[in-house]
Amino acid sequence: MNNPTVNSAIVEEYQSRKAHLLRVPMAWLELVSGMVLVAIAGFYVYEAELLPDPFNPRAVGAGDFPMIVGLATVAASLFLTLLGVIHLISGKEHKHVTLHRPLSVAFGIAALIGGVLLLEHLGPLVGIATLSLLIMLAGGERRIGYLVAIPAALSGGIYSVFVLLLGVYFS
Amino acid sequence: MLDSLLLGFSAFADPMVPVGLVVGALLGYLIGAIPGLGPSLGVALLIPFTYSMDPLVSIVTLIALYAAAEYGGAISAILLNSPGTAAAVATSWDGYPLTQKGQAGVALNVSIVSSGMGIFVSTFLLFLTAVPLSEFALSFGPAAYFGLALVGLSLVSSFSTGSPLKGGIAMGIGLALATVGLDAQTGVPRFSYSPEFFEGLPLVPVLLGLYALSEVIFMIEEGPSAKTKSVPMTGILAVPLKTFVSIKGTLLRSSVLGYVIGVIPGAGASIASFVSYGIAKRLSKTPDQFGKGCIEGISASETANNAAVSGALSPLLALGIPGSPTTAIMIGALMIHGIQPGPLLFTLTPEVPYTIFAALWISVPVMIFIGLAGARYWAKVSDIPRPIVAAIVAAISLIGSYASENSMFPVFITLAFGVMGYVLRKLDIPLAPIILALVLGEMLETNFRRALVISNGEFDIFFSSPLSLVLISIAILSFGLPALRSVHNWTKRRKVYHEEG
Repeated sequence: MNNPTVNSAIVEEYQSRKAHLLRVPMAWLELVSGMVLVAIAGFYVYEAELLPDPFNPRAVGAGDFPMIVGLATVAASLFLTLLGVIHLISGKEHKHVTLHRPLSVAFGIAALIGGVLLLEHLGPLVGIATLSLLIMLAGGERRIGYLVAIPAALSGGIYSVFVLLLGVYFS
Repeated sequence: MLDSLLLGFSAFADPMVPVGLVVGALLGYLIGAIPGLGPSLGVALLIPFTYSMDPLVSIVTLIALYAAAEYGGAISAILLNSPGTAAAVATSWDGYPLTQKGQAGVALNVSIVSSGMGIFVSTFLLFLTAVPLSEFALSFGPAAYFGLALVGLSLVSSFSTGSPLKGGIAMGIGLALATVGLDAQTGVPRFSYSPEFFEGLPLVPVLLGLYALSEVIFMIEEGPSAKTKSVPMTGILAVPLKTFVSIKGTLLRSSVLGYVIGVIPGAGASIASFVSYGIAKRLSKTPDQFGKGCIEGISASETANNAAVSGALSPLLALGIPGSPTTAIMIGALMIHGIQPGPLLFTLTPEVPYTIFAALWISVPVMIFIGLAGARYWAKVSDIPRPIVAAIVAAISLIGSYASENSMFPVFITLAFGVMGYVLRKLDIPLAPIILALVLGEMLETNFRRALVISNGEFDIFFSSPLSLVLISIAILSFGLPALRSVHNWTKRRKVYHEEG
C-alpha cells in the first residue's frame, strides 16, 4: 500500500492532470445547452407544423405526434435554461464540469472526423491504421513500439474479419 | 412448453451455436473486465460481426456476451477496487477488502459461482413468466400498448442518473429522432433532408456512436492513467461447498430480487445489486462484517446483478419493450435478423426465445469454468493501456457501422452521435432514455394514433379500460414523483441555506 514508486506515479499523474484541466460551472453549461436545445426543438416544432394535415380532421396527422414531442422538449429545455439562470444568480457554489486534456480531446475528435472523411479514399487497411495511430496519440500513447505495432495489427485484424471473412467491400 | 424448450436445446446440435456461446462468453469477460466498458458497449460492438451469421448463432453469442460482461465486471472490482461495470460497485465493497486480506481467490470464486446461480435461478423464473406474460399481452389494444411503452420510457427516464428533467429531455431527443423518416401511416417524409433518412435513423450506427465512440472520446480525455498492479491471487479453487450452503438463502433471495428488479424497465443490474446488498446486510446475523470482506455481501451483489440479465430479457421477449439499454441494443440485433420481439415471438418463432433460455442455462457451467480457469488472465485485461482500448473500440465502431449498409452514410451517423453522446454525458444528460425512446418511439406513436382513430379522436380511450388507466397512471407517477422530490429537496436546501444566512 505504501509503495513509494506507485505513490510518486499517482502524485505525478495528479499534477499533470491538474495542469491540463478546464473547469466550467454546470450552471453556465445548463444555460447555454438549454438555449441550444430550445432553438433545435423550436426548429423541430416549426418543421412539424409544415407537415400536411390528415384528410380525416379527427385523425392524428403526420405532424401531430412530433408537435407534442417538440413542444414538451421546448418546455423542458426552457426549464433547464431557467434553472441555469437561477443557479447563476443565486451566487452559491456551483457544480463544475471538468474537461481533462482539452487539447487532446479536440485533437481526438478532429482525428475521428479526418479518419472518417479519408476512410473511403485510403481504404480499410491504411484508413484504420492511420485512424488508430491518431487515436492512440490523442490518448497519450508515446511508446514507438506500440504506435507502430498496434495500428498495423488492428488494421490487419479488422481487414481479415470484415473484408475477408464477412465480405464487406469498400468502393 | 417442454417441447418448445427441447426445441431450444436442440439448437445446440448445430456446432456453431455452442461455439458462438463460448466466443460470446470470452468476449463478455474481456469487455466486463475493462473498467468503463460494459455490456451495452460490448453488445453494440459485437452486432456488426453478426450481420452475416445465422440468427440463432448471433443471438446466442450476444446473450452469452451480455451475461459474461456482468460476470466480468466483478473481476477488476475485486482485484483492483475498480469495478468494470456499474453493477459491480457493491461487489467491490467486500471483494476488495478480501483481496487486501490475501483472499482474492476466495472472493473471485464466490462472485463467479454466485453469478452463475443468479443466472440459473432467474432463467427459470424467466421461463415460467415470459410465456404467460406474452399471452396476456396478446389481449392488449392500442391504448394499452401506448400506456406500456409510456411506462417503459417514464421509468427509464426517472431511474436514469442525473435529474429527472435531464432524463425527460433525453427522452424528448430520442422520441424526436424516432420520428425521422417516412411516416409509417401516410408515407409523408418527416425531417428527412436527404433520401438516406427516409428509412429513419439506422439504429446500430446510432448505438455505436452514442455508446462506443463517445466512450472513445472519454478514454482520450482520461489519457494514459497510472498503471495499477493487481495483487497475487491464491486459493481460487479452495472454497468448500459448505461456504455456498451457508449462503444459500442469500443466493436464492438475491436471484429472485435481481430478476424482479431486472423486469422493471430502467432499474437494471446496478439497482438490483445495491438493493440486494442492502437487504442482505439488513437480514444478516453479522451486518457489521459487511464492507470488511463479507462473502455474503459479494454473493448478494453478484447474484442479483446477473439475475437482472434474465429479468431485463422478460419484457423484451414477452412485450417487445426493452428493460435496459443493453436489451434496447439487443432489439436492434434481433431486427437485423428479421426477428420482432413481442407477444407473437413465442408463436411465430418459438425457437428464438427457447434457444435464449437454453443458452442462459448452458452458459452457467461454461462461464463458471471460463471464469475460474482464466481469472488471473482476466485480471490482466484491465492493465491494457487506455489509448489502445480507445483505438480498438473506435476502429470496430466505424468499420462495423460501415458494414451495416456497405456505405459511408452510417459512418457519418456514428461519428455525429459519438460527439453528441460525449457532449450529452458531460452535461449529465443520460443516454439510456435516448436509446429507449428511439427504439420505442415508433411503437408509441403508432399505437397513440391507432387508439385515436378507434376512438374518433377522443382521448377518453386512454382512460376507459382499467389496464391502460393503470399503465398511464404509473407513467404519470414515475414522471411526476421524481420531479416533485427534486422540487422538495430544492426547497429544503434553500430553507437551510437561508437559515444559515
